[in-house]
Amino acid sequence: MDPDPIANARERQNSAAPDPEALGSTLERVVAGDLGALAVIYSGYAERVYRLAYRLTRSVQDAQDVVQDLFLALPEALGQYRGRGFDAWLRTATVRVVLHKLRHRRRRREVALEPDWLASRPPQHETRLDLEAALAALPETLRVVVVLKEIEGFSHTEVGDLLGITAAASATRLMRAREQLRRALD
Amino acid sequence: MLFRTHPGYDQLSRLADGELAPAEAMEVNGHLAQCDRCREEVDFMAELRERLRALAVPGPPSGLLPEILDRRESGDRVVLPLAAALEDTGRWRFRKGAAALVAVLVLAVAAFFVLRPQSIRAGSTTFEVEMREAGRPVEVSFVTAGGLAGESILRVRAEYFTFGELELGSTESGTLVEGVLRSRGDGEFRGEVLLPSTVAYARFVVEDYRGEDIERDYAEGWEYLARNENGEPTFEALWQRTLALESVAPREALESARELAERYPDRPEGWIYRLANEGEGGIVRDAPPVGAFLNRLPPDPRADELATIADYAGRTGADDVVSDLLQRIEAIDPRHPAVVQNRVERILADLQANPAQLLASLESEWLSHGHPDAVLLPMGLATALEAGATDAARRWADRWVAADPAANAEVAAMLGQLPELRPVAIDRLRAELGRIERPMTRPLGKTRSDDRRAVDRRRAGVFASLGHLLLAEGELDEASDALSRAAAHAWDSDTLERLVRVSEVLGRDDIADRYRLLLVADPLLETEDRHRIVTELGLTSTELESRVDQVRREMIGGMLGSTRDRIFPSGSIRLAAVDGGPRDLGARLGHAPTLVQFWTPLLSSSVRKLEFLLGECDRLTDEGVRLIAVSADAVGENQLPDGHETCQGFEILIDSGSEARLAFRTDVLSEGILLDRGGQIRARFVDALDEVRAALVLAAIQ
Repeated sequence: MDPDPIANARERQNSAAPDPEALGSTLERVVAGDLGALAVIYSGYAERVYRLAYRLTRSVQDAQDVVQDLFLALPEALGQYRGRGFDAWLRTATVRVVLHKLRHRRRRREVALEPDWLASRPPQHETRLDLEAALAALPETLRVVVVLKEIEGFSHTEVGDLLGITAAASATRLMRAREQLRRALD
Repeated sequence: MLFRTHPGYDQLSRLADGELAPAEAMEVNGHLAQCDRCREEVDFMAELRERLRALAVPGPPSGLLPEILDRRESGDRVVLPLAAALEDTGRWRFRKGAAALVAVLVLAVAAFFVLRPQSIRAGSTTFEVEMREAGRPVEVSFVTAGGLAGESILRVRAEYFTFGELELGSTESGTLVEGVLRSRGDGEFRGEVLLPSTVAYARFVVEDYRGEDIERDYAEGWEYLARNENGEPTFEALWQRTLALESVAPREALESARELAERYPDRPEGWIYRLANEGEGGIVRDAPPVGAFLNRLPPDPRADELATIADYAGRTGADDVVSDLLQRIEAIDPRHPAVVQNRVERILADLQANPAQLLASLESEWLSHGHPDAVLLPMGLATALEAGATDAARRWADRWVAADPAANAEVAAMLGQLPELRPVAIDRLRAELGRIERPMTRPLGKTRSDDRRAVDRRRAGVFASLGHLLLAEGELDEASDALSRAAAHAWDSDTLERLVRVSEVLGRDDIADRYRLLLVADPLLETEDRHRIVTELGLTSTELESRVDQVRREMIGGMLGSTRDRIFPSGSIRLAAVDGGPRDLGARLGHAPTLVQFWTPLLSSSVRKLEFLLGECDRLTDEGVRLIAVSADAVGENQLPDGHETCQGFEILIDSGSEARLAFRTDVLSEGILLDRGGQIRARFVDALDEVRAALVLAAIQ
């Protein structure tokens, strides 16, 4: 009897991500059109994709769109995956999808969720709220570098590759972002 | 070389990034050792990185995966821009044409695949299970003309119970397994599910792979019962069926118990169930005398056999027989649950006036005959708390949770009654949150949405308890965090009141006012509290009305939860009567929001819920909400006030033209459904408070 993909996927949903040995075969099954395998990969990686997308876009709706587009396209997009470092590959893919969206999006008014989510967080954490606001107030070109370099841990060279700029330009943007954040938080 | 002046900001920035060459880094670090200002800049950059990484980010909503899978299945395709991104420079301009071409191709592909072939065959739903050989997978054949007919893959879920020792009143659930059913076309599906050869009873549901659309039936075809050589269901099969259906389909469970008593008259289990559930006061005219069962005991009966008869004797008033049987059980097994329970009850009856002595007796009982009993453990903890014995309370708490991890939250709430034990209680509640976060097995017959709502309710309860304790400990920051999370998951006026107070103390009057508005928007808020809070808000009546209306419109989405067309399709709503033949419920709905509450007199919890709703009828009438109480049982005259009614029915069907789909069964544990003025189903509820609140808010804003 063939292994039951959906039952197996259900089991794997209980873990954070497929173990490395199983990952390769799972990805092969994704490429082959196995929805259960796609669900497994989603369960292991969707949250980090979403969080990265949200940090970059500051938009719940955009982050959801990015997750949808990425996983919807994953079976075909895996044709560009070279078989090593899936986590890093997926992060890079996420950033590229986000940047593409940022260039072409029309600003939509965020309804309910983001303001409510902000409002419902502990009001006493003045510094966190200010930092959130200061980050959101940065120009997009600077904020993207802050997120990629400071939060996601990309190097300036990697940031430069993603943004189509030099590493030095990335470092300069980060410096400017830090100055602005410092002024906003003082 | 040391800096005579300060390093540039860019140098400090690159130092913080680890991007300086070693020699340059050494120079800058040398300067930092003597310059507070520059060192502070670098420290800020490092601290900033930590704070940025610590910023909370919401997680993805739970409904994305089903949507993605659905779109893949439908043929939707997206091409990702994974070529190296380019800044919007001159180099980018000539690529825009290519991007436009890709977009056109994507749209064309999506349009080609968006239409799915639909073929629905008229006919009834059948479900067959065939166990050809012990130990081999069970073959499942499923034919449907319903909403799942167009799917390519379905999931069959089964809960099974095996042969083994049976405990009366056991609340243990069975083992859940799943299998895949693949479409053969025209609504026919086939697949397999693995059941052990020792299975006595199993029941099945079929659902879509998203776990949101479920077809189920408790008729025999959707169950598997082990049978003897005569083709009759075995005792174990019928008994397990009775226990499995008790909380899900109580009418079916009672019928199973009747069959059990009829087929196996020498076993008391069926009679015990009937005594507990049938007739007023549990009196069943035809119940055999206890001696009939005693006479059939083997020479060396097991403790469980004696305990079952003791239970029967207790229910039929033969107390002297109970005492004798308990002595015999104790001689066989002093730690048998029946014996422990009896001893505990005697302890409690003898020493109620002295908690310290009572505690000592319970401790002795535990040490002598320790048994994870449903009575001993909670009584031990309660008594320790009453006696103010904190060490003993912690011991009993540990024992209870070791025996039943699901009781952790309840244990924590009890421990929190003693100030000295609040930190322990807080730790337990935090651990409970971690436990809730882990995926739990979805009960059979519950959709993923149902399950998530149940988890949210549990989570809200734990956050509320945690917030309350943290507040008592003076941890305002953390209390506010916990309480706000509780409020986000479930409605609770106590939690909201606490949030108002905490926000005031923390100087966030705007947040406090926001919570005050939420309180005032609750139609179930007590009048006195409403007056007080309105006064605190200090708004004119016009302003208040406008803002409350706005808040209610924001609230209603969360109250109703997410609804999907496949769960609540549009169409006329018909009530299938007990005597067959659907009747149009739509005619009863009129033009008011309507609560249709299913209930059964077979379950005390269901009766209590209906009684609560009866108590709210005046309020419902004031706001123009109608209540229709539906039961499959004959319930006599309409006892609801004018404008509300009872009726007898069994199923709610949604008739949307080409098909009539089962939406709800009235023996499904007293759910309520809320319909808006247009007669559309907007939500299902398990909690009576939630449904009344949602109905009143819906009426106010529609």
